[in-house]
Amino acid sequence: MNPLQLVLAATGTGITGSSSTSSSTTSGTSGEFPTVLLTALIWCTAATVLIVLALPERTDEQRSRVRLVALAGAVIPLILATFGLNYQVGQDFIGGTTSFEEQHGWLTSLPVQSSYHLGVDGISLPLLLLSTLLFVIAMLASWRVGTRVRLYLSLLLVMETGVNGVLCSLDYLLLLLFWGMQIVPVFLLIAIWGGPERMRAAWRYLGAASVGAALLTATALLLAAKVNASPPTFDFVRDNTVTLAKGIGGLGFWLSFTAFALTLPVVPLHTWMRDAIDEASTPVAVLLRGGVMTLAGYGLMRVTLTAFPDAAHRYGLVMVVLGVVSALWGTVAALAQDDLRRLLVYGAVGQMGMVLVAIGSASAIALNGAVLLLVADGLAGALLLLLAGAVQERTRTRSIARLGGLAWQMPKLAALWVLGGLTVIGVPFLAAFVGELMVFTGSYPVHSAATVLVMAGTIITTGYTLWTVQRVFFGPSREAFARLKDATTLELTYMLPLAIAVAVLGVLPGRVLPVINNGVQSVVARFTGGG
Amino acid sequence: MYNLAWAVVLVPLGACILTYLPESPRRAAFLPILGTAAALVLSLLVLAYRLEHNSSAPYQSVITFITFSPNQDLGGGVVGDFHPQVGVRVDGLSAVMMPVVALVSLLVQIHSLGSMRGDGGLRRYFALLGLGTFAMLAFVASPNYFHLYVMWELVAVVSWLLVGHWWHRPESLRAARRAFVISRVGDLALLLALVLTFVKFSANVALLPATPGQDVNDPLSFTVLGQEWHRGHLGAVAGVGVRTLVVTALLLLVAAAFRSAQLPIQSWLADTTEGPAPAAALMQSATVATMGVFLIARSYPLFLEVPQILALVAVLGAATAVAGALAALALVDMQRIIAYLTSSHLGLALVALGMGTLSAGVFHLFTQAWTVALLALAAANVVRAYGTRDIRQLGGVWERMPWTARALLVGCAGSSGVLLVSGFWSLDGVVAGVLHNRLPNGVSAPAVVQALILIGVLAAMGLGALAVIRLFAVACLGDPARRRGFQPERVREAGDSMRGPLLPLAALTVVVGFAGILGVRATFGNVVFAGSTPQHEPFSVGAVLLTAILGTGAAALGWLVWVRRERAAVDLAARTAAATPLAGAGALLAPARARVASAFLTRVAALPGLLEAAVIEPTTEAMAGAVEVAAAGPRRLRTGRLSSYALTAVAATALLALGVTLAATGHFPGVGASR
Repeated sequence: MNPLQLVLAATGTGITGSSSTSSSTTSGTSGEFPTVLLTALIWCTAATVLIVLALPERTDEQRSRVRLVALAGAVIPLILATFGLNYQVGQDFIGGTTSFEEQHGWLTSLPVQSSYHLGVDGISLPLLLLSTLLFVIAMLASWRVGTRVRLYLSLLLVMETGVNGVLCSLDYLLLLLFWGMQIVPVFLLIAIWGGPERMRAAWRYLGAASVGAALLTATALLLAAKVNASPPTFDFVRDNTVTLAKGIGGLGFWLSFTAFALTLPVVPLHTWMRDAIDEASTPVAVLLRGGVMTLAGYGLMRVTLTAFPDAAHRYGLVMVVLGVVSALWGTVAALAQDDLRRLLVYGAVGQMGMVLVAIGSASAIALNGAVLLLVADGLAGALLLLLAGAVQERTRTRSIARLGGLAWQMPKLAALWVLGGLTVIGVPFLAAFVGELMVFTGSYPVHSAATVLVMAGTIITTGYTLWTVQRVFFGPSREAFARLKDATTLELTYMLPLAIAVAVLGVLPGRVLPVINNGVQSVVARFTGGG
Repeated sequence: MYNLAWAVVLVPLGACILTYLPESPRRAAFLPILGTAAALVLSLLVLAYRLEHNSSAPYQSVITFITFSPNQDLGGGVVGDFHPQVGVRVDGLSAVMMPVVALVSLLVQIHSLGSMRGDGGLRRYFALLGLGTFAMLAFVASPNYFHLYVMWELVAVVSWLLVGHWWHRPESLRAARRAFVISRVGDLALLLALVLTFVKFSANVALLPATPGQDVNDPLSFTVLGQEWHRGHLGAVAGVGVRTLVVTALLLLVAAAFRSAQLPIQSWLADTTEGPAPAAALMQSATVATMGVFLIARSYPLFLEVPQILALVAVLGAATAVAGALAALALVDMQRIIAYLTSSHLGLALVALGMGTLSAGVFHLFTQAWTVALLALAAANVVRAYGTRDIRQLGGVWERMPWTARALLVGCAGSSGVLLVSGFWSLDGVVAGVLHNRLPNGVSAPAVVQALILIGVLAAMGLGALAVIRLFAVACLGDPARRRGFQPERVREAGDSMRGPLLPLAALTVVVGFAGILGVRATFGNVVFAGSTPQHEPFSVGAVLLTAILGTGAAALGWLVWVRRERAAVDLAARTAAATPLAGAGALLAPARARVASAFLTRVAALPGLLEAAVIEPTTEAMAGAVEVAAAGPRRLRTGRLSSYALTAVAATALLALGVTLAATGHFPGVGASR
């Protein structure tokens, strides 16, 4: 074995010709020791809200104390999620298992039983890490918010509890509660701190999100009523393992699919999400892009595919067609945008279309790729939104036509933008490449024409990404921007982690893939009749 | 010993990363140079070792990049493992090409020391050259299609950044963007070929006994696929027929044509000259442009199974060769002329591949690498000294820049196939291949195709020879045109670092062809071959004569026209030139084509917006209106009162949480936990 192989073995990349996989003998903690990891992770931020609300915010000093407390509250879940994922990476496992599982009796005297049931698997863990990271970054990006700091930070923290809770819930009622928990904070965050058209965007957000929540509630009730368990239950483990009658399965599929398609967003249900991200302040836009949209992708895999596998199989083509439409629609529309933020939003619609194609083809390789893509696009999309925010803050415009030559003044921001753009394009050794490759490989045998179309869409993605970076950052220097400054230390503090994460995930996706696959296998097993 | 191949690939990468450490950019530039020099020495060692152990199986060392078990049914059976691998492979082809890449890159970097002196982004430029060298070396040494694709894409990114090095110049930016987006189309063809191959073969490959030295069989590995393609052709692989092979081969051909600037997308290669000239020289001679031909050479076992596609390769190559030579004859931009000549010669290499003579094709790639690098670097010196790229305004280079002009002359001789210089020997191989017209497995192209290709090759050779002589005569002899602000007497020979690299390149251009003369060329054929047995190309007297007459004759004719200005010859040239606008039109039309494309794109891109405004917005608006009514009085909600709303919402959430907690613990009236 040569030195290089040793180094790679140390970093956990498997090596042919030697048995390098370190087999850990540690068994799962659940069982012997009541784990509270997920409870702590979810509720830590909500608890921080209580402290934040109790602190005064009259002077600058007091306000920065409030910020520090809120930041601390957001960092703890990140540490816990990192620990959780790291623990799973060290495991050798066979078959889909849920880890860090917690279950406590809860609404047991209701006609339909519900329990406080939490747990994560390979699908939710990487997404949990993404969302906790993005919340910390959003906190840092909000450092300069000066009005109603307490309220602002409390809303962010409540939203985080909701988002993380959705990713950890193993009970439909619990999932609904958490899902609802992030709606109102987002509404208020847009309505108070948003752009000029914020009220309209906020109300549209509230409306569409409520429709989504109502559809999800209907899905949960349908499952509770139609699954022949006694007593009826909202629990995932029981609801997601039975075979439903054809009509019921179809109904449930459409209810849940519409709910998640609203949030993903899928064309033609995308305009409200477009407006929301458009009008929200930069940190909130980042959270909508990387947190809330990701939740929809997660929900499609966890609820739509797992609870209604037969219907999802039957209507797979519908999902794939919608995915292709979204992918092409988003990328083509991005080509025509003059507004920097809006261009990124359309790009996001396009990338989510690719995820939907993977979910619609529901093959193991494609679903693994979809999870990786959700994480990668979440990171890259967040980075680009933050950069767009930084540009807007300096130049006071989002119109690409009025920008140009910014790399003269801000080489660091330009370099970061190039990195984010290359990630979105899917360049090797950056996060999205392996995900895209796997989505293509996995969906091609199922829907070859759709796969080829989506691949063709990535050419347009390349086109608009390069065109944008060249129009905004490159070209001759402009007099009007001569006095602008490059990235501040604060900006680098929250942008560099994203850039590093993008590179690390691109070079070492092999570390997390076995974990993701472990979760995906339990979804796929539903299709092949195993689970 | 073969393990050194890892170092060959990784040393330039390490040097590239270290480029950002030293304080002064100029000192930083020496790191990639040292790294590339080390890679060159190591790759020569690997080559020497490989030449000694030529008959042994290709050496391969791989690392699994990612691995997991999808257990997915891909149609041909359940795939238990998805494990793309990266690594190195040393066989004749890669061992020969690695030193070429390393040496050309090294000389280009040394040249850049002088020609890029004082540039603002020197550090970035050298880091990119190092990264590009790494990517190209890794591409050449790739053991499977996954690794090959990764490096293919990485080279495209690096060339985007290199062409756009002067990011404040709009022309550079446009050229860089065009090159990247166009190459992206080819990339996706390659990616699709990769996906198709994986889908079709992985289930079958999983059933094979593992190759020695590997735990698993990689369905994308060249070694494995070499056998699988043949078995697929015989119908021994479930779900694979001739159609799969044809589609895969076509996709690879599309990828190669886009990357090697073949018809109908030739012009982007000429656009790369908008970037720094040494970088363009590297891209034309040893990295980007050669990748397509290399890809086909690497996938040769597949193409041998589908001779009809191989014939298509040859036809495409011949057409490109003619078009490129014509464009070179028509243009006046010195660097663009060289770019079109490159594309023409790559076409000729494809012809040799298409006619079944793999080693002749690779040999032409090998000899032209030096020639093109020499021409491009010498031209860069001239352009730098004279401040214009228009050959009509140049002149007198021979006296004013003696080194550069003589190097340019050697390059012209090498490119045109003048007797005994390297181009002659490799062109002779191409012609012999066309005359011989037989694949290693005995199949021949139809006589009509053969005749067409032969005419094309001869025409391309003749026209190409004329074009280089015109380039040399017009640029180097005579007197420079008078221009405002240009003083011919102030033109000086280029500095040492810009002159130095020309010397080894010129020497190689003269000498390296002797690796191809009878008996010795058999060695090249013995080293670089497809399948399990070396091919010995038949020596063809006809080919040697044709090449000699054409190359030397055309050069002599060009001499008469542009140097001696013989009246008869000039008349003949004028008549030929009457035909060139037609052919050069392709090159001249490129901007117009780009305008049409962008107008079309603008229309299409506006569609989603229109649809949204006309259909989606009104619908959602109506729904949103309904919600608004249901929400009863959003107008009361004004900014001043929003915080009280927020507090209400937070309080409601808290109350809900409290209620749920009470219910969970059994204290809520009417609802109780059982515990």
